[in-house]
Amino acid sequence: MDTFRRRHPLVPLTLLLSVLLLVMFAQTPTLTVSAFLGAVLFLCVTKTKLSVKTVLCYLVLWVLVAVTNPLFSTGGATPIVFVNGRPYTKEALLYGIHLGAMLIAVLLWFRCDRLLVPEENRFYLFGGIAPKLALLITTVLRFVPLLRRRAGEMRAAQTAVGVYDDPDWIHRTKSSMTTMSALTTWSLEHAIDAGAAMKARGYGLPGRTTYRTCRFRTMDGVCITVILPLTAVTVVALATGRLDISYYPNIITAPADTLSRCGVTAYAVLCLLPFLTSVKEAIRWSFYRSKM
Amino acid sequence: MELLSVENVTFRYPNAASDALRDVSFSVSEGQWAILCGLSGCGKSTLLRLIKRELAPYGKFSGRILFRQQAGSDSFAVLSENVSGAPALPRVSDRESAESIGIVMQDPESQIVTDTVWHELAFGLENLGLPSETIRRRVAEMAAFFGMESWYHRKTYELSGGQKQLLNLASTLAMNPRLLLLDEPTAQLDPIAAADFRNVLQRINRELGVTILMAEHRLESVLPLADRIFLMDRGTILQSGDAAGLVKYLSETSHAMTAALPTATRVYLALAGSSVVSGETTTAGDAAGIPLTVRDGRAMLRSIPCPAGEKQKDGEPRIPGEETAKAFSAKESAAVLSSKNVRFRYDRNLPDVLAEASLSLRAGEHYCLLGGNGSGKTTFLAVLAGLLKPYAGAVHLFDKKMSAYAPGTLYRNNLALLPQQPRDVFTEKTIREDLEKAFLRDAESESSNTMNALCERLGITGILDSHPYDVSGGELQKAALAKVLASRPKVLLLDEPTKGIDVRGKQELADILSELTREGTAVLTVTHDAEWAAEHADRCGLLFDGQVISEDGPGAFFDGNAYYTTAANRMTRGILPGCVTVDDILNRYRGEVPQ
Repeated sequence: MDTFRRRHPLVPLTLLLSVLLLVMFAQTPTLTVSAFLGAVLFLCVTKTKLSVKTVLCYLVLWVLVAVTNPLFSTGGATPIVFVNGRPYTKEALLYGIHLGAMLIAVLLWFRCDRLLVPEENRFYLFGGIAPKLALLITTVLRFVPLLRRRAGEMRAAQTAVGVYDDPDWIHRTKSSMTTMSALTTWSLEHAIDAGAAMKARGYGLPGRTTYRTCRFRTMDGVCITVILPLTAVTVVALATGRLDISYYPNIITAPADTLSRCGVTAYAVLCLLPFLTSVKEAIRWSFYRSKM
Repeated sequence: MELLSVENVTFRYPNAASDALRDVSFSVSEGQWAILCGLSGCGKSTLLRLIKRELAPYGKFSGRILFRQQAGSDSFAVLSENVSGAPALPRVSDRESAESIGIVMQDPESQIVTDTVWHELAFGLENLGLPSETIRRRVAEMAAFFGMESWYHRKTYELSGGQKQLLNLASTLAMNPRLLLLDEPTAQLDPIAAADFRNVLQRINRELGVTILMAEHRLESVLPLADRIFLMDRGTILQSGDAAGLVKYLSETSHAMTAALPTATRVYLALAGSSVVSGETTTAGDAAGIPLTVRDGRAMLRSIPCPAGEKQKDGEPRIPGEETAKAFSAKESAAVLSSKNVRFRYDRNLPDVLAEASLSLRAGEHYCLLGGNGSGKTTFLAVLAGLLKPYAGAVHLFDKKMSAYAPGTLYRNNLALLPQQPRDVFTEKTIREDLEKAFLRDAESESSNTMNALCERLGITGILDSHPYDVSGGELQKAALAKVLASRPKVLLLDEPTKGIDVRGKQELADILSELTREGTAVLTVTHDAEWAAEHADRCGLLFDGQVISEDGPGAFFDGNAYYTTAANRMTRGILPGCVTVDDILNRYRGEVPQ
């Protein structure tokens, strides 16, 4: 199931960047559909449960984008109705539907990203490029939950000595601000302590290194050499205008030829990679199990 | 061979009226476990911070601190010095100081730098500039040595307090220090986590030969482990030597730290002056016949004749706890705060923290609720204080439902909670401002008069103009208590009030609470501190599996438990039945012991 999780974080990053950048720059329905399906299939095969609320949110967003686009853009040639004397056109509506679908596809891919990259590797690549920034991120990630908990504790403590328990809302607001300032004092105090703890363990000595937990293996290289050519084919098809589409005033798509077909297929394979590898793993796993 | 040598160190904080350390000289040999003991504010933390050069506070320093550069070498190098006419010695490099001297401090939370356990272990090694391969090996070694494999990938904020402190220790040890400085490392931990931590320390000392210098004011469990003990008082070292030397010195001078000695030792000292224990009859104990552990204490009690009158009652053990419970039920009054079958969980999908928890607190009693780590004691307290709403069951305060209290009435003259972190109740720059604000809110009282009276009663008039972060734990606890008492509550809830507080502070707190209960205030304390509860509670209860079980007077409560009980009880089990405190034991020998 976790082919990508076990890979060097560079692999899922390359895949994600390819999928997302291409679908956003291309604005081509075929690519959008590929991205959409690729994400949905992967989420299905990994048995990721989206809450009803999330799905509803996505649908509402989609409808909202689709319906409101014609209100802002009146470029189409085929009006359906007139709103305040402005045409509400079919082309603008279709463009809106596509735009909404693309947005949802991108959001779904961010969901996949959580499954493709383990959380602890999220900022891993920063470590190589900007070690200071990476350290800052890890300390912030450490501090935020702590701050949230302290805020809750302080509020509870203040409540129990009767500070918030006042019918007067102005007084309550004032109390909130006092608690906030106490929290700031605590943060500064914590920063001093954390700084001392860092210094005690040698922070500031020259020649600091960054602990690299992931190793780039041959298989990672293989993965990248699969992803990059597929991306390249799609890029060429896009750059040569074979996948162009214009919505206004009429919807005109570039005529299909071998290159455009190759481009679409390459992108589809790219989008399906997480799904396909998961299926392959599942089959292999059931084969191993049969031998247990 | 000496590893660390402190020579004539004097230190004064800026703007301080007196020296924090005065002419302190001592040395620690390689492989030793040395303890710096003394009441809060005696200068032990300052001394440790001066040795760990990176953390040295600003101030006027004189004297010198030497550290042996390499294991087995003859030469010392200077960690810090400010002394004229001493022979010039090389200075310990910054790298050497960071690598060879590790420190673990009191608060587990504030020492963690990164968000994941594995990164925390690697952090110091990254700072030393080691290659990833070496770091991987050292981190793996540490995780295996500490048994951390199962939480190696966890987020640091998800860990328990005990795990956090173990992580701090492990990430310090990963750097291979030769000297480990510990500043009351178990003060914030519950007894079980503290025992685990001490066991690990013992392994580090015995199996890895790491030298330990530890500041500690609770001697019950560390005294038997120490090779050398330095007794500090107001910035000077009063006594140095082994445990026997310390015990002898403390008993001769009747120093306040005597109360911090292990139970067995205190019983021995009280009996030693009498005819009951003579030099020859005390057999066991590694420190020249002085019992330090429960085992030694049992051997001592077995070797001396039973107190008069004990034999006749053979087979029918006397339980003093029963008497206290009865004595209490005599003045039994209506419950002021009660919870009935309270159920609580933090999230719909999480298990119950409280399941059918029932408790009733009566006016004028001091109830101690004990329980293991994570048993939901703090949660229960928050539910009782009306901060969390149970999903089933009800909490009543003076026969009125919690929810029936209008805003602005519940926490006025009714109920107050002192949280685990006393500093959380303070929001202003000085303690005085905070207290004034609290007393002003209570308009009908002649505020300043009551405030001054209360501060005097709690003995905090001297610290009123300090910032809440700048006073000691015990002082802050009392100041927080003053703020909580400003609303003149009839029910006072306390969360772990003895955590990190020295023997003197604990006694003072107990005195204040007993005064309050005498005036009719009901006090509910949630605590891990069995010894303190046994001495000062009117009733005790155990929170287990979301319910309050085995409620009883402290005598019967602790005497009924076999493990979750006091050292005095474990020491006398089967020898002098029914003793739960040192006083209980001594009372048995009344008549034979000069009172």
